[in-house]
Amino acid sequence: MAETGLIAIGAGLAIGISAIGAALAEKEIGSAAIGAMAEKDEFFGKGLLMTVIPETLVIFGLVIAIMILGLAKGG
Amino acid sequence: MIMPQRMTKARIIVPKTQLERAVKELHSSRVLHIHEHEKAELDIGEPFENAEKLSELLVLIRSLQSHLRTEHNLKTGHGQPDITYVEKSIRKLHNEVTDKNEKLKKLEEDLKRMTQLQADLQCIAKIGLPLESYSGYQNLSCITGTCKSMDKAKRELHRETDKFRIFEPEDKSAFALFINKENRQKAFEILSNNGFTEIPTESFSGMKGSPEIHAQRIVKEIRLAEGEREKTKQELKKLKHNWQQSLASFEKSISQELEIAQAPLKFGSTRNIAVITGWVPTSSMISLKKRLEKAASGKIYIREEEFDEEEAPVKLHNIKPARPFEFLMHLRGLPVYNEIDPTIILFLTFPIFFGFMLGDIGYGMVTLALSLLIRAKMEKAKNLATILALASASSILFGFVFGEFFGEENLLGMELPRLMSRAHEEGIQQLLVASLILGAVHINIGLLAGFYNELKHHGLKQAILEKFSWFLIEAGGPFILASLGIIKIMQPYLTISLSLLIAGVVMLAIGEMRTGTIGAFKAIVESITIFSNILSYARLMAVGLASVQLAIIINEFAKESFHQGGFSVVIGIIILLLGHVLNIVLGLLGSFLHSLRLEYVEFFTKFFIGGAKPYKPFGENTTR
Repeated sequence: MAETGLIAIGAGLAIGISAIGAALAEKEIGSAAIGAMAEKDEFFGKGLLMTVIPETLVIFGLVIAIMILGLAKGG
Repeated sequence: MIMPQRMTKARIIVPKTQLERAVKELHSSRVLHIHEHEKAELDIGEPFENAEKLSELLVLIRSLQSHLRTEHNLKTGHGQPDITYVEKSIRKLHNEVTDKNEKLKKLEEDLKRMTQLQADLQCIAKIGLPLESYSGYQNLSCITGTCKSMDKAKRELHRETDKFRIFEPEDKSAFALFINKENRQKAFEILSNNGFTEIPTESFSGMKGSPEIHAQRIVKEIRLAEGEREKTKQELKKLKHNWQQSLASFEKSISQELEIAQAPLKFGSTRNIAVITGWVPTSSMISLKKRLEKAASGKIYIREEEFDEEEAPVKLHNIKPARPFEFLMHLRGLPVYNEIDPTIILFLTFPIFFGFMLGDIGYGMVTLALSLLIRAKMEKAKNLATILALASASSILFGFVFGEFFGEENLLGMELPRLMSRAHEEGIQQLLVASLILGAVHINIGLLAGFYNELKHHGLKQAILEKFSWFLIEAGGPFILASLGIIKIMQPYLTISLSLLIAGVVMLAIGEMRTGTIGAFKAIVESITIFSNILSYARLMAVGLASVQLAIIINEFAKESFHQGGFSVVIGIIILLLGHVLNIVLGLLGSFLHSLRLEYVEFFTKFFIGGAKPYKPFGENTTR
C-alpha cells in the first residue's frame, strides 16, 4: 500500500514539475509576444504559436504520469 | 476551393483624358487590387487637382468629429452631397465649434483661478487684517500663508532678528509675517523648512477692505461662470446632436472622393497616358474589361500579364459554411498564392477538437446560446461567434458521446446513454487512444498537404525526400513503442519497422541538404518531433478531463448542501451557479485556445508557409 502512495507522489511530481518548467518558459515568451502585439496586431497568430510551444512539456509530463500510474495497477 | 482565388495580373493603359472616368469605374467595380507603381522608366502619376482641397476638407471633418466627440458606427446615407455645399457648411460649423471650444477653455481657466483666489481670501480673512495692509510698504515685506510647525519657525526667526511681527488667528490656521525687506529671504528659508505653503499677496493686490466681502463677491462670479460653462457645453452638445449624422456621411463621401483623387499616385504616367497595374480575380476579368471599355468610350488598352506567383495578393475562396474560419487564417497570416488554403480543414477539424474537449450537453447548450447572442448583437465579432456556435454544436454532440449533462451522468433519474465515459477510470485509457488517433489522422492530412505543396514548388523528388519520408518515420512508431515496452510485436515486423524508420530519417536528411549540412543535421534531430506532435493531441483528453472533474466536484459540493436542507439549499444553488459559470468560462477559453494551437502548431507546421498580402481591391474600404 505504501508503494501506491509513492507511485502517486511520483506521478504528481512528473506533471507538477513539468508544468513549472513550461510555465517559466511561457512567462518569458508570453511577455515578449504581448510586447510584439502591442506594436502590431498581426502578431497575434505568431505570438500565440510561440507562447504555447513549451506546453508540450506538460503533455510529456502527463504521459509519464499516466505510465507511472500504470505501474500502480501492475504492482 | 483548396487553393486561394485564381488571379490575373492586368495592365491597363488609358489616355489622361479618360483617366478620371476610368478610375471612377474601377472604384465602383471594386475588383482591382492595385500594384503600386515604382518610379522606373515611367514617372509616378499626379493626383487629380481636387485632391488637395478634398484632403483639407477631410481633416476638418475629422477634427470636428473628434472635437464634438461624435458617436462611431452611425448609419450613413448613400447620397452624394455637393462638394461646395459640404465645404461651406463644414467651414461655418468649424468656426462655430472652435469659438465655443475656446470660450470653454477660457472659462475653465478663469474658474480655476477664481476658486483658488476665493480659498486664499477665506484663509486670509481669519487673520483679521484689511486687504490693503498686506502691501504698499517701503521697507517692510509681508509673507502670508500656512505653516505646519509655526512655533519652531518663530524660535528660529528670533535667533536671526527681533524685528518682525506675526499676526495669527486663534486657531493658527494661517499667519501674516511682517519683516524687513532685507530679512525676507532668510525668513522664507526658515519657514520653508517648517512646512510652509505660501499664499501670494500679489494675487489680491489692488483689493481693499475686508477679505470676506471679496470672497463673497468671487463666489458669485464663480456661479456666473459655471452657468456660462454649462450653457456652452449644452450648445456644443446640441451642435453634436444636429450634425453628427451629416458629418458621418460627409466623412464617408469625401474619403471616397479623396481615394479616387489620389489614386493616380499609384499609377505610372507619361505626358499623355497613365498605366495602371493590378490583380483581378480571373473570374471578374471579362466583366471588368467590358465596364472599363464602356466608361472610357473604347479609348483604353487592357493586357493580361505573366506574374510571379509569390507576389500575388491572396483572396481566400471557400464554400459558404467554411467562410467564418477564414478569420482564423487572417489571424495566422494568409497562405501564399500557390499553396493549399487550409480553411476547409479548419472547418472540418476545429469543431471536433473543441467538442472533444468541452463535450457536455449542458455546457454546449450554454455556449451555443452565448455565441448565437454575440452573433446577433455584435457585427464585428460575427465570424468568431459563428465559429464558436459551430464548435458548441459539436460540444453538444460529444456530450451525447460521453453522456454528460453539466458533469452529471444521470438526468432525471435516468442514466444517459454513452459511448465513452470520461468520469470513470476505464474511460480515460479509451479517451487517450481516441485523442492520439485523431492526432495521427490530423497530422497525416497535414503531411499530405505538405507533399502537395512541395510537389508544386520543388518537384516530385523533393516532395518524396522532404514529406514522404515522414510517413516512413511514422512507420517506425511501432518499433519505438515496442522498445519502450508499451506494445509487443513479432520479430520480422520489428526489423521492418526499424529499417523504415532509418530510411525515413536518411531521406529527410538528404532532402534538407538543400539548406546545407546544418539543415540535414537538424532534420535528424527533429525527426522525432512527429511523435511528440502526435502525443501533443493528448491534450484533447487532458483538457476535457480537467473540465469534467471540476464539474463533478461542483455537483458533489452542491448535493451535500442540498442534503443538509434549510439555508444550505441557497448556498448549494450559489455553488452550482458560480461553479458552472466559472467552469464554462475556463472550458471555453481553454478548449478554444488548445484547438487553435493544435491547428497552428501541430498541423500548420507540416505544410504551411503563409504570410501573403491580402487582396484589397480599390474602392473596398469606402464603398459599403
